[in-house]
Amino acid sequence: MIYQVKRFIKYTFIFYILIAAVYWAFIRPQHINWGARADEMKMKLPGDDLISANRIVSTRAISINAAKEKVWPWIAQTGQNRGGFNSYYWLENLFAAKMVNENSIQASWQNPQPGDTVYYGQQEGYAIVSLVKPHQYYVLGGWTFYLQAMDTAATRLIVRYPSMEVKQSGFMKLYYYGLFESLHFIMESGMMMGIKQQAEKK
Amino acid sequence: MAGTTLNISNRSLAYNGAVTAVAAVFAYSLAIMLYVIIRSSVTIYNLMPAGERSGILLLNGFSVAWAVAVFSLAMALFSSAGGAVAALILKKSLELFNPRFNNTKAVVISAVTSMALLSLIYVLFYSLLKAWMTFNYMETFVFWFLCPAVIFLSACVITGNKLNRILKAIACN
Repeated sequence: MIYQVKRFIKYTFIFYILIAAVYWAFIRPQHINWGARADEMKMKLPGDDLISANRIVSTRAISINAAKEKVWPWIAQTGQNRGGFNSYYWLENLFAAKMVNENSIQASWQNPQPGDTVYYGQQEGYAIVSLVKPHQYYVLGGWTFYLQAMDTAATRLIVRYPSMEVKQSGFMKLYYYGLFESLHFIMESGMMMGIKQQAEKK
Repeated sequence: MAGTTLNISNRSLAYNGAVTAVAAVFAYSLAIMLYVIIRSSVTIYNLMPAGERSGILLLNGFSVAWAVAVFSLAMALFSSAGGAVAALILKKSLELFNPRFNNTKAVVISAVTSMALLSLIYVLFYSLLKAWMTFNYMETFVFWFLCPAVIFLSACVITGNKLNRILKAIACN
């Protein structure tokens, strides 16, 4: 029996090596700026001044078939203590975030102000709203949600996230590249698609 | 768990316990990987228009796989130590409480030993994590405690049963 167990470990390990190879060769270079065009990656966004120069920054974008005014309410009520993150709530709740994605627009959350606290999960970290311009942008720390009208019925949602400082200890690098970066992509892209879904619904 | 040799040293027993623990972590991780990939892919499939689906499905799937693989490797390191210790404790328990090598008794002893070890692990984690360790939500309870506990209990019972047969064979020899 121990022979089969060892063989299972060996094949799983080989499978992990293949995942790592594909992830680093093809996936990470794509997900870091998922959906964003070259001009959007270079574009100056309102939260950029809050980002220190030596950070790893991702810029992601998605087209939404709805006017900015229909997209904005879902961004305005972002937060675990508000309308959720419109992402994979069931995945967030595996980590006891106690996340609920609100399925309707709540008037009480429609007026976020700089200085407001936005929680990522129950008993977890939080961010302070830095900059807000309704129907235009929403900045949490340096995490920017920017709305750009494509026409009267379509919007580009551009999201820029400043993550780790480039110069970090080995352990922090392991944590960042091994877990945080990929998990952040999963949740952030999920959030962008969730906002798209909510804004596009009739 | 320990092959068919009639001579089982503590060292080889600890090694086999560690290997079993790593395999259990990998098996659970692969199940979680599959669950998260399938569930998030279904969501993406329903959200994104046909022309934009394939790219994000691939990016999401491999990102989930990468994160779970890294996490499971880290967990395997800790669990291998736990598996080695558990195997040694299991052997001591069987020698102490089952001198006649009764199979049914061996299964019961293995189950009780594993539950005692689980309680110890729970207390250890609780003293380290305190308020962070909460079972207030069903998902958290099932994912972090119930499933790993069932896997650990099953591994201990299977291992204990096999170990008992080996100890019996050694005693009869």
